[in-house]
Amino acid sequence: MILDIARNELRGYSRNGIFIGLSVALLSLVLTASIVSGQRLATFERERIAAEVIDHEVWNSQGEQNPHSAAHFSRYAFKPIPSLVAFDPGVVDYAGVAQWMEAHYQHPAVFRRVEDVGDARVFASLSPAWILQYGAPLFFFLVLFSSIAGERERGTLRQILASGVRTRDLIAGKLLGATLGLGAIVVPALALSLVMVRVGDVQVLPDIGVRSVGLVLAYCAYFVAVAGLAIGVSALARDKRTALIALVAIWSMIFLILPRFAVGSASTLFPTPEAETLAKEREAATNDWWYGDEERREAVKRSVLAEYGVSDIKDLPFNYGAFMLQYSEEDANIGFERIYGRLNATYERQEGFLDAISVLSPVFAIKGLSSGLAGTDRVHHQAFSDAAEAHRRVIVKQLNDDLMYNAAPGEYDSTYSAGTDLWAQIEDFEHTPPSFAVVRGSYLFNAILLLVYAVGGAYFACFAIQRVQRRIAQ
Amino acid sequence: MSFSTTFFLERRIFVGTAAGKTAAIVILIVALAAGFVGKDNISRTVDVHTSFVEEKSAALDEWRNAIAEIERTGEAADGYSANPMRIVIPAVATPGPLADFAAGSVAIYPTTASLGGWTNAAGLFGEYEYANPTLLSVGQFDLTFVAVLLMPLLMIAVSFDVLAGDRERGRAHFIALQGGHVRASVWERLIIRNGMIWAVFVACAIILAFIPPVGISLGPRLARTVVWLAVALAYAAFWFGLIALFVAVSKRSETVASALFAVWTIFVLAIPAVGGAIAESQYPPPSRLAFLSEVRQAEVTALNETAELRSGFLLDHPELSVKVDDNARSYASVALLALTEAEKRTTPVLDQFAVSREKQRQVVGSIQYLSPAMIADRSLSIIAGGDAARAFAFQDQARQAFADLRDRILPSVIADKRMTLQEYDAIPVFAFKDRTIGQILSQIAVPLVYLAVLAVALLVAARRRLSAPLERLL
Repeated sequence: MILDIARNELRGYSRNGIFIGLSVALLSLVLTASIVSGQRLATFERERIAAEVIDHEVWNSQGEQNPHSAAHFSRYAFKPIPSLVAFDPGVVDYAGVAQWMEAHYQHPAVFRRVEDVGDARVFASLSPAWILQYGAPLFFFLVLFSSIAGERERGTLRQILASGVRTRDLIAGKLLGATLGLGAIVVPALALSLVMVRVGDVQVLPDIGVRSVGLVLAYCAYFVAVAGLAIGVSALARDKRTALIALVAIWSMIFLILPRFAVGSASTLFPTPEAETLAKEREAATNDWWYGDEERREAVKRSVLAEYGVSDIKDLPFNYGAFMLQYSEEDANIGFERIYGRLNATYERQEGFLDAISVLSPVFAIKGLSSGLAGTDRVHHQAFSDAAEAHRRVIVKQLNDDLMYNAAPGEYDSTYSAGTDLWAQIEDFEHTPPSFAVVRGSYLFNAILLLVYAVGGAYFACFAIQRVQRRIAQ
Repeated sequence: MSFSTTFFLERRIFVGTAAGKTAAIVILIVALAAGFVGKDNISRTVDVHTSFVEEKSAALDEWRNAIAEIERTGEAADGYSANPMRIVIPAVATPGPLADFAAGSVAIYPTTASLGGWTNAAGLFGEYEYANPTLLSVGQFDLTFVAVLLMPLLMIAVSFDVLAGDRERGRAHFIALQGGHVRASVWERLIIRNGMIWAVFVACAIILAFIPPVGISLGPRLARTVVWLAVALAYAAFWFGLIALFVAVSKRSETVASALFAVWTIFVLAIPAVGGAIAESQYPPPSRLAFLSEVRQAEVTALNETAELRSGFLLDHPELSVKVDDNARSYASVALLALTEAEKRTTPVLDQFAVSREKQRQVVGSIQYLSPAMIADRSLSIIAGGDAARAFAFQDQARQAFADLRDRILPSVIADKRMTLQEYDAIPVFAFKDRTIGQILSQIAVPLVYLAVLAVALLVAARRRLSAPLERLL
């Protein structure tokens, strides 16, 4: 009986003009989005690889320089783009792709691709993930709004129940029909986009298999939740018209208005510190040592002189000016950790607010989990930024050490210069995104919530159909 | 049936019901929330601008006092005193008079610049990329979003069953039997329902217009509000015409609703997304990473060629004699020459960015005719001062002001001559030149006329359809 009901559902879909039209539209959009995203990804990677090569050449060909001047010129860290960005770009277009590893300053990542797009893509983005997150629910709602309400209006539901069909068979049949019918569209769409993004010479995440499986599971849970909601509303609604309006109202509210409203509220409740303020704080973090408390500098000097048992910095076995440069770096790093720590804490509060809102709107749950699995969310961006900062500290220390042990003892020696041998010792920045196992804790809430949504959606559909059956029986 | 009778009927079946009240309350809450979020953002931006300008102005006053003192006494405290390289002119993009109505894509662009000798056009805007990318990727919540996305949805929700619902319930037959005019009642009911929600929206917009964010004057704001509302209402007229046509054509209310929602999805989401992707793939911007590499390469080359650059400059300016005996001033002249030369060599790439942006803008400008939502969004953003073109205009003006400043300080820095007080006082203060209301109107006139023509055509088509014989209508 379950199979008969499911077959009947599928027959209904095949005759439904809206279903066929929307399926074609959805598949075409996903296909187009996958191709466009794949091309963008290939371009990004070409640009990054070329930039790395040139940065390496420019660094090595800078000629004779004082190591400290070289530390100011320094190098750039370029963010590798994981292949799954073509499926879900996450925040990739909105976060910087290059980080300057200069002495004295921890710079933020700069060059956001979104700045080159202008006014286009204001409301929507053409990526497979966006289509599946926002378009697929609308597709489900427009197809499923009449699944129960239509049968009731036509009187066929009464006939089915009168013929002795058990409630659980009806629910199972309806859900199976919806799963097969809609799954026949969205699963190939999901698979297609995941397969297409793996084509090309791009950085493939080491655990891409786990991440891909995770994406499939996450989207399946999301679709079950959405389908359950649609069937449940269709069952509870007085008629098809009411079901359609209710579902579109729900879609507008939880998929369209609530996310934007939440973002507006998050930025108002937890404002990001202004760029000018942060720039001043960064300046202060590094300048405090040089222009701040002189007694502190003197105390360090006294302690170094005492440690080496000399009375003049000229008698030290190294250049004291370079020592001070490195000391100031380590001093400033404490300030940078405080500044960027505060900034990240603000981001986390903002995102925590979005997490709280995801209790009302599953779109944040799937968005967070999807971009996390794709390696394109802020957590992965932060990992890049942290790695670049760690590399900056290594580079600067290497250059300061060279100055310290090779320049003449005494004050800072601007006449000392190093050459290609030293530049060649500076390693290129390489970054592999963290494996999902390392960062999975960041997505636990989203994953659990999605599971709750899926179970809740299925339960809601069952509850609503049982309620209809009871009413008809009465 | 008179208008008052229709109004009485509508009050019973829609305006006074839970559905009607809910629609009005949703608009009220969402519009006011969007307005206050925008107001908060703009007030914060204005505060930052104020302190930024105050701080730079204080430093400039200090610089001016120093040069005045030198001219008076003929003595300088040290090499850094009144050095032209220390002149830093603040440049800010003052928010548009109605900026809180359309955040648009402006949230991602720089709104301040420090114009001074220690930089070049590539690094003029500092590092401003601190906004949380997670929030940016979701999109802005503002009044333009409400007008362009939400209002049409609500219009569809309140109107889709005006005729079909009456037909299904037999109310249309009843009206006809009573000697009422079904056609007139359809128009009247559409006007009452849509008029109600738009009245709430317009009232909210007017209230918000009278509460400007800090630092924005009321006069220009009100003028812009009138134009902004006129465009919003033209967009509303388009949807009104479209809804009326579907209401007149389709027999079943769910068909009207699903068809209108599908059209909404195409106009508001699909076409803008595809249009943006087409524009980007047709005219991709040059690689920012390649640009960065180019700048760095040019800086290294220019630094290595300082002697040639200096002699080249002096060949062009034989009146300048060079006698650099101060370390600080010598370093400054080398840096300025290198930065200037690097800028010259990378200007073609910056120009390519502008060309790519302009071409993209033209493509999107053409594609907008396929989507009234794009026309409305672009026009409303332009009027409010939230469009990307305005942000780029600020960048261009800042670069021009910077070039002017550099031309003024370069001879003094290279020739190691102090600027005179008179020369300093001749440096213009940066003031962002915004578009006039006339320029804005000429920019949006064609799309707006097109939108109005579309609306009229749809209304005429709907009228003709509703003028069909009553038996066809019923």
